Amino acid sequence: MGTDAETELDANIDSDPDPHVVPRTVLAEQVRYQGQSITVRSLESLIDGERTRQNQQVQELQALRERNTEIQRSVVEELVRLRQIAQEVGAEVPKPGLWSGLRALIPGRRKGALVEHSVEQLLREQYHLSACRVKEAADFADRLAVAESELYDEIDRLNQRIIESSQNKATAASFLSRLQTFMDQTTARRRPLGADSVAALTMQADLDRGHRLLSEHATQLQLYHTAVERLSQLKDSTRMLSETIASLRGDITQYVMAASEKLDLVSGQIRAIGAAADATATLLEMKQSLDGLSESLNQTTRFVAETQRYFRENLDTLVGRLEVYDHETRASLEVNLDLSRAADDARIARLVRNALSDGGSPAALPARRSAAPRQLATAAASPPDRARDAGDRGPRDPEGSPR
Amino acid sequence: MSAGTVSGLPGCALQEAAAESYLAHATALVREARLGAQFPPGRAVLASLEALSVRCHRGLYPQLLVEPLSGLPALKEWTRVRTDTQLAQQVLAGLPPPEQLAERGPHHPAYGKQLLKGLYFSALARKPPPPIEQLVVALQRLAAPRVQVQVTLDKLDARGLLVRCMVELVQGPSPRPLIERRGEHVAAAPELQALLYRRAAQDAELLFIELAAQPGVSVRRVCVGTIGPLHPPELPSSEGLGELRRGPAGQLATFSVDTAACDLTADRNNDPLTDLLGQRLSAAARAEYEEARRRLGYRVTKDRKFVVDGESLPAVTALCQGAGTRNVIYPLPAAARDPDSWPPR
Repeated sequence: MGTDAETELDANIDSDPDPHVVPRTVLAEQVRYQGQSITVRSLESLIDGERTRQNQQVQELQALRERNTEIQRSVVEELVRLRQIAQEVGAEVPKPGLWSGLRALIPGRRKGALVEHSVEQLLREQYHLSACRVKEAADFADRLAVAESELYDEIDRLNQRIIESSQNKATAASFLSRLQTFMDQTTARRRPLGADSVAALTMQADLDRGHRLLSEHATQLQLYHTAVERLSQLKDSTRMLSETIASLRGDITQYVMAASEKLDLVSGQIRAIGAAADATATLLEMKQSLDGLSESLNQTTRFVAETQRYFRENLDTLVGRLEVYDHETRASLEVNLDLSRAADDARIARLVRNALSDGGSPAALPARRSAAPRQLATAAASPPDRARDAGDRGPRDPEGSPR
Repeated sequence: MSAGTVSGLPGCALQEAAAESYLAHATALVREARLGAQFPPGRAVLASLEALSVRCHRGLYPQLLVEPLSGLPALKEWTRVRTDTQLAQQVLAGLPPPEQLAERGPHHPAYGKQLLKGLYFSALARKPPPPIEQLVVALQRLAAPRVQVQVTLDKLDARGLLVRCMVELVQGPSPRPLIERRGEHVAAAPELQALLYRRAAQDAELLFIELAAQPGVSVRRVCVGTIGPLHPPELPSSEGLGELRRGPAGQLATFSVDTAACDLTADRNNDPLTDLLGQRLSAAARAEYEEARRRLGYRVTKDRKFVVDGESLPAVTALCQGAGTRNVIYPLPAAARDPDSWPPR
């Protein structure tokens, strides 16, 4: 219950039948926002939490990219190794016949030194190594499927928060509109009154109370507006992450399927080794198979290199977009300067990578600040250009194969 | 048999129920063979067969590829067990937390597969199947500069059969010894490994001859034990031993031992399916072959045992009698013929 003057003012206003007049009760109105109340600190904590989660996702994506590079490098090593085996095949001298060949081995007869490697043994060992790599790649694809699913769950969660913040924003805006109307109307009613009159002083008190409420809920409006904007940006980034992972998973799945088919062919060819007393035909067949397999693996290597390049380009773009430098947000939320540091680091990493790929020494770089949560891979750890060039040159130029 | 024929043969892909039935029969055949030290390790073979079953992999692998000639799983399948065992810890480390898998696995395909992988690879990590392929060199006697060793190579040969090649030899001074020694630690030189790999699928005396020809090497014994071929009811009938199966549940398996050694008193062929090497040579070559054998001083014995179901037993018995051999034939217990009632362990 207010004072007598306030009661009288209420009565005066209530007696005014104008539907556009906002009653004084607006000053006592309970504005109900959904979810927990929002403050600068809580919004900052929310945004930081979401960004930390996204940092982790980007780090995991970076680890997946490095793993993809390892798999690619292993495939190239297998290619080199298979080439060596093909050379061993050429060096093996087939025996013309069972006993005739063994005659040279009987004591007293001249014989050549034992061959150091069995072709079948080398092939089997290489087959096992290749099977391991393909299995690792398949497991990699499964992990990507889970990561992709988690990101879609993240998008759902962010959408829920965005909707909640948007509804609260509308609630705040509606209240502020009515409150502002009340204050305008009160100011107009107060103007003709004497400054010392009770009514004028009461109205002034209402105006002061209204200013206070305006300030409070305008802040709420601003915070909810900011939350909608920032969460929407995070959601867009999350969607980009999920699309990148989906593409990578599709590419790797294709690679695994193609490599598995090749391995099945090789396992069938390995069965042929040693089955015949006369190994000439077997060796020739094996050499032909190896040449075919080498070429297939060469194509697979190019395929993986292209995948890795796609991944790299999209990840860099994605990370660049994540490093949003929002002046308004910073002003209202006291944004952590690490955001800007991360953007600088991304730009620096790109400069270094471009400089090294052009063959020159790195140009002078801006002074580096302390490391941001997300570090991009250096050029040394990821030589996609050399991998692509080596794949284009084919298996006859081992010097160009990436290490 | 030409290389083209062998390499062109496709494997036999068994799906789900047929694969489980095959594995149960193969396990029973190997278990009932009572394999000794001359054969590849039965425990490792049985553990690998168990790892191939859906009880272990929970359906992650929808089909099983079997070599029709050997009746054993194809190289791809043995390799799968080996690679999965090798990668088990790495895969488990990359899985989501068990609580998350248990909660989301039943409802989401991506998590569901990870849940199955968690169960499968956990089982492999807890009890890894021993390797079916390995090379072991055991020091038997050291009297410098000579060293006596036993070299044992277990491998899957090109025919798809599991083979144990065991060699006892004495390595003396040589510019390129086959046995490398550091103190009491001995290892097989790459040349010896390659030789064993190439010759393991052939007659033991071929390997005996080739080893005896190496400088500084004195061979005492070469023994090649072979598991297979198996003829379970899930595989189509093939020419040869497979024709001896009787009835829809007919199944049999053979296990052979081929020995060339200096301490045998006489040649003996108790294998109804194989002739001695000398019997396969032309008359002209045989004379020189016999002379070489006398110089090297070894004898050869071949033996073979069978595991067979009751209905097929008379046919196998008649085979051995017709060849004039006296072979051990283990009858399969009645329960072992029904994969649904046979306990896997």
